[in-house]
Amino acid sequence: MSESLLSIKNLSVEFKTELGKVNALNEVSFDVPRNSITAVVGESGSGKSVTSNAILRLLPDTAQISGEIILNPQGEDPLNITSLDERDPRMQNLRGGLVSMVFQEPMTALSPVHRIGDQVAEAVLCHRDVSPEVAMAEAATMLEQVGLTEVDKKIRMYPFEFSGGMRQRVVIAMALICHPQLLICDEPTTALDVTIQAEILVLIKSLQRKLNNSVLFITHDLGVVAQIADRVVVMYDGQVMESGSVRQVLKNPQHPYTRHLLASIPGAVTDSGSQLHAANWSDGAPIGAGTFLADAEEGRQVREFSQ
Amino acid sequence: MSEILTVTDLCKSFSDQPVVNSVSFGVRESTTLGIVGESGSGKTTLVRSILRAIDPDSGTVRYNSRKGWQDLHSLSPKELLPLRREIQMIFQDPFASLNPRMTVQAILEEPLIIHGIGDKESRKQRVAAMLEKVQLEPSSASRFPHAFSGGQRQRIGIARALILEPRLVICDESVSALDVSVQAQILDLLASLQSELGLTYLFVAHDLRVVREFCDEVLVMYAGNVVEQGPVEEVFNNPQHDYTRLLLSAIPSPDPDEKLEPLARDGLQLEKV
Amino acid sequence: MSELRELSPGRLAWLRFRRHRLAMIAAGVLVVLYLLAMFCEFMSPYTPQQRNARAINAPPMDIRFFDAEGQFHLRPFVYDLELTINPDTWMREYEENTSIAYPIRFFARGEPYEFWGLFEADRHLFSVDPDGSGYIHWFGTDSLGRDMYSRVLYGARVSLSIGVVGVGLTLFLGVLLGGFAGYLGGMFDSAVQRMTEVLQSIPTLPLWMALSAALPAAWSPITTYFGVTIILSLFGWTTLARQVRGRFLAMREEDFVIAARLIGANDTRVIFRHMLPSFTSHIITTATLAVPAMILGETALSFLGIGLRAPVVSWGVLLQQAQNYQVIVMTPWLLLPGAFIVITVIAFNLLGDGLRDAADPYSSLREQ
Ligand SMILES: Nc1ncnc2c1ncn2[C@@H]1O[C@H](COP(=O)(O)OP(=O)(O)OP(=O)(O)O)[C@@H](O)[C@H]1O
Ligand SMILES: Nc1ncnc2c1ncn2[C@@H]1O[C@H](COP(=O)(O)OP(=O)(O)OP(=O)(O)O)[C@@H](O)[C@H]1O
Ligand SMILES: [Mg+2]
Ligand SMILES: [Mg+2]
Repeated sequence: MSESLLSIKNLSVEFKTELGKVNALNEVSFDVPRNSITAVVGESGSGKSVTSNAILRLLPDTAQISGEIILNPQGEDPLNITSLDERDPRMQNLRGGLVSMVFQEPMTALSPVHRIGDQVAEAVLCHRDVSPEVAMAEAATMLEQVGLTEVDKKIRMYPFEFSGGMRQRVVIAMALICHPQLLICDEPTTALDVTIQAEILVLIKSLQRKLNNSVLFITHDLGVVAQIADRVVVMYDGQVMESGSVRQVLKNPQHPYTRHLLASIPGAVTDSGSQLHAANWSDGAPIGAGTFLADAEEGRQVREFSQ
Repeated sequence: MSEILTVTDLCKSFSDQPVVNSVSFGVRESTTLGIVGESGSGKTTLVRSILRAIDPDSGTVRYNSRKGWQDLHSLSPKELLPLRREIQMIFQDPFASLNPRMTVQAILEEPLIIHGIGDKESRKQRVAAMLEKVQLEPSSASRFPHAFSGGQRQRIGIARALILEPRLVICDESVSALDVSVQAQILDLLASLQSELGLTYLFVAHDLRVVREFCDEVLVMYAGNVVEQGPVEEVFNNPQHDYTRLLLSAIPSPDPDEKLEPLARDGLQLEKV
Repeated sequence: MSELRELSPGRLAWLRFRRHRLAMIAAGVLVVLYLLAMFCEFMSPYTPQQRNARAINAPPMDIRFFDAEGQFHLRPFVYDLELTINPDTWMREYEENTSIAYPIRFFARGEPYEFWGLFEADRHLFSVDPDGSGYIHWFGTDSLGRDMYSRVLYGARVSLSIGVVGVGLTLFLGVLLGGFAGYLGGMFDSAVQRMTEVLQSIPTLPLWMALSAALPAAWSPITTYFGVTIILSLFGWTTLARQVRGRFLAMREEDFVIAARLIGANDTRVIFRHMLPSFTSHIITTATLAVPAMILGETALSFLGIGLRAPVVSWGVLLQQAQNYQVIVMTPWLLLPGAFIVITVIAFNLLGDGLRDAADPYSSLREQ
């Protein structure tokens, strides 16, 4: 099989809000190859989460979607996610089965009133017909794989007894327990300390190597991209600016926006040797380019700039 | 250069849990002192008790005001008021730190009104001048905070802090919530204001890359204690404490060839003091 | 989209509220109800005590445009009612007498009244035959021949205003006590907290009854009215006080409040410039949702005969007439005040919902 695990073609998403239409994604196309980590990087509001939510069909009803998201699972027929019916049995198989997701906030992803072990085992029981004992044993193995020690004791503990890093490990275990072919991580480390972030990054990477699945990793930090990903997609204002292998994009950025992002990393030494003094093409950004009033003007600037 | 602030043996506990444990340090005028440490290590508690937004349990905070050294914690609210002009703060969350029901003009004017500075006309001019300094359009004054992006809001926060012409500015994670490109612009702005106005910054951050870039000295906190302190280059190039080493090893480099190899926590001596 | 940037928070809230279709309708209904209540002397054809001996327990009369011959009349009219005694049951029954029609006249002279106690007038929005031989009771009449429509409107004035006045008092007590509790903390806070707990744990109905029983029977209707309002508010403020206290405590830690303190603002300024404006919208919402409770409280008291008493007319007093089974079977139109209560309560709740959504225009915008 040569084709990519996931290919997104001309995906556009528009939200209807009381303030008018918000064009969140504009003709986004990229592929997620098998057995690799693909990072999506871009600043706040660039449409990273909308993209990942579209893959799992988690967008609200106010969203108008066009384009194709094609999943080519190993050993199964290809699936066009955008045209799938909500009641289609393949939908259940898609969410949590073929594709699963790790969210930003490790606190809200876990139920505070259930034991860790039960929560992870529950994820097994939802998708496979096994006995609770088997599910629990699998849960314990998975928790060990994500680097928890003394698992026997920990499966009987509650989330509040865990630190943020441990909780995020549990969430990752829950996401991986059904052996998804695609794992989507939406800024899984943003809420964590740098030291814990580093541990989680190393963990996600080593698990991907071990389990041979694909990971779509969403972040706004190019440092994280460089450390975790094989391929990278740079997004801005709902559009893909540049994509390619990490080495290619980060070492030899083609698009001015990517260069701008790289130059913005604190301490980054750019070609001109200047630090901090990031290319300031977005200085004097239009007033109102806030998260909810984001408008197209800045995007236009980039496009003009890129011509 | 002379010191502008000295903190000695500052302690603060919340329900018998020490959060800031006998912290001492000094800041020299017109320099930037970075404070780093993991979440919950007491950075916010430390800087807020300097400002007396939190009352510490013990310790002294002495500030070298325009009228000489003063012990901030022994002053009455009335005596403190003139010093509020000299010490200001820039907050982390550009959404939460601006009153959503006040226009930018009202937000920026308020410090001037409280301190009885100028009349209506001159205040207006000062606000306009300040907006220009933080690179916002003059027409911004009549708008409400919701009309601005995160970076622009943070500029308004900076303008509010600087309009009283303070000497010491405390930045508690003031750029952490911003996108890298906006962050770079704001750091740029802070740096140029420092050289223009001779400001002293106390800069709390969790991103070591920012600290390395922006600060002259750094103070590493771990579990309420200062575990290491000194000039940035010295600390970063030759870390003495295990926690500092751990922090440094955890920075993800944007160069794919520099592999991320964080030190294992278990092998380090990090037990709480 | 771009003009949105110029909007004030108030305009934004209004934009959000306007989208709430049900809340808009509810607001319209309430405006109509309150207008009817405010100008009830003018809006109603009769005064509440005026009796019509020719229509005792009369059913609602139909307002017609077509007469018995099927002819259209531009001016609506009602037919005269003819009383018959059913020979089997010996019940009074009314039948339309199609030979006598009373055309409805607008802005006609009728029973003189004193408008708001300010001036004498005798114009009514509508009535029939100024000479007094005809009558119109489109909500029917009660056992004394009094016009139910007029009584419902006069009752609305009392019931609806008790809601507002009561909530006003509740607000005053709640904001004052809750605000001080949240601000001062310590002893005062504990005292207020314990007091609310005690008040909230007492079953309200018996307590109301006890307090109402203590209202001297000799009091004039207006004094009783205020007495009842005060009783209702004395128990209503606890919920509000808790909310205000909670918000006060939370808001004290908000960044923009700390920021105000750090630029040197004193307590009064912090509270009145920064904290109060930020939660007035919430207070308004809570107050809106509290009005129906007040109205229902008054109704309950009056229904039990321990709140307002005749000759005062309130919805509760009116419903008192409908207490027995016979009434419900024979003269169901006496339950009409109940329908008004239901409509009012639902309208207030819908309005409160809409206000709650609009109260914080930022929260939901930020979520997007
Ligand atoms: N439910 C929605 N209704 C309306 N607009 C939305 C909705 N969800 C997202 N948007 C808009 O879509 C755009 C992209 O949002 P998205 O959440 O994908 O950004 P992001 O790249 O994930 O940013 P962040 O880094 O802040 O998470 C934004 O402009 C946002 O305002
Ligand atoms: N008002 C308070 N009451 C009780 N505990 C508090 C209070 N404020 C802070 N703490 C506790 O004190 C500790 C230190 O908090 P602080 O906010 O100073 O940490 P920080 O270093 O600023 O962390 P972060 O990087 O997450 O902002 C935390 O464990 C916190 O839970
Ligand atoms: Mg996102
Ligand atoms: Mg903090």
